[in-house]
Amino acid sequence: MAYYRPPAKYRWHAGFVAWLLHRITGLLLILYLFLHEWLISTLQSKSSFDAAMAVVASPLFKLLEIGLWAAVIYHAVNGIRVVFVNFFHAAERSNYNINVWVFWIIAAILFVIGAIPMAKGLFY
Amino acid sequence: MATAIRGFIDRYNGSGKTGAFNWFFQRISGVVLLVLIVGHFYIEHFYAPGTIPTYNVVAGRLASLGWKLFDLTFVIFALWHGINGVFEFIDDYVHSNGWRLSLRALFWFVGILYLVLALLTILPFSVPQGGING
Repeated sequence: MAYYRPPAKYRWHAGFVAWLLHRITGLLLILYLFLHEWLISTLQSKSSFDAAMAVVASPLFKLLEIGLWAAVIYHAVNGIRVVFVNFFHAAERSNYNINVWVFWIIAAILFVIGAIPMAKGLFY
Repeated sequence: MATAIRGFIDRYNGSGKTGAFNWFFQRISGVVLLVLIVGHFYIEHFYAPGTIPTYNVVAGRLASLGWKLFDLTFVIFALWHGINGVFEFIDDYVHSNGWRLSLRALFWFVGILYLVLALLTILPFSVPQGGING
């Protein structure tokens, strides 16, 4: 089957980085979903669920949970940006790079707001 | 026979169709997931920071029809959105016809498997005798 090979080289402008991070976080999130659902399926019995929860109660998993929050919030906020680019003229050249930075700042703020209670939870 | 197989492969192997619906519904499901994940993250990750949900708490929640519907909607949209995202990867980076078909078939299989797993996990819960805290 013939396929389209892009003639252009990738340039490291903000929009490309945003797209690349969206791909990477998306891949991480689907892999996480498979692991997450597999773990939660231990709900079949109380003992197997409590055993599984005992494993993820460690500080390592709480730290990983903050990383999960980062991936979720980036993918969600950039996903909104994609919708704006697709349907609300956010792709216009005059504001394209600016909107990437605006959404990155929004994502960073939301990440910090959510990460604070999670980080406190590390020391319980 | 070979032509029929080739036609089947081209038709269901990406590229043969426009993919417009998948593209559009990726946006729709993304916005739906955005709404659902706010509730999910609040309940499961922020409600009681530093604690891990116990079986009784989760079982009590899943005994209600509302949470069953919430979690089932969430997992169905998440699986569709995630696996459709994987199909975008396959479209972009895998160019051999055999690999494309194999990987698509694999992720269809995994998706259906996980959907069944979700149904088996979520549906059986009912309010136990002695109340949800018993």
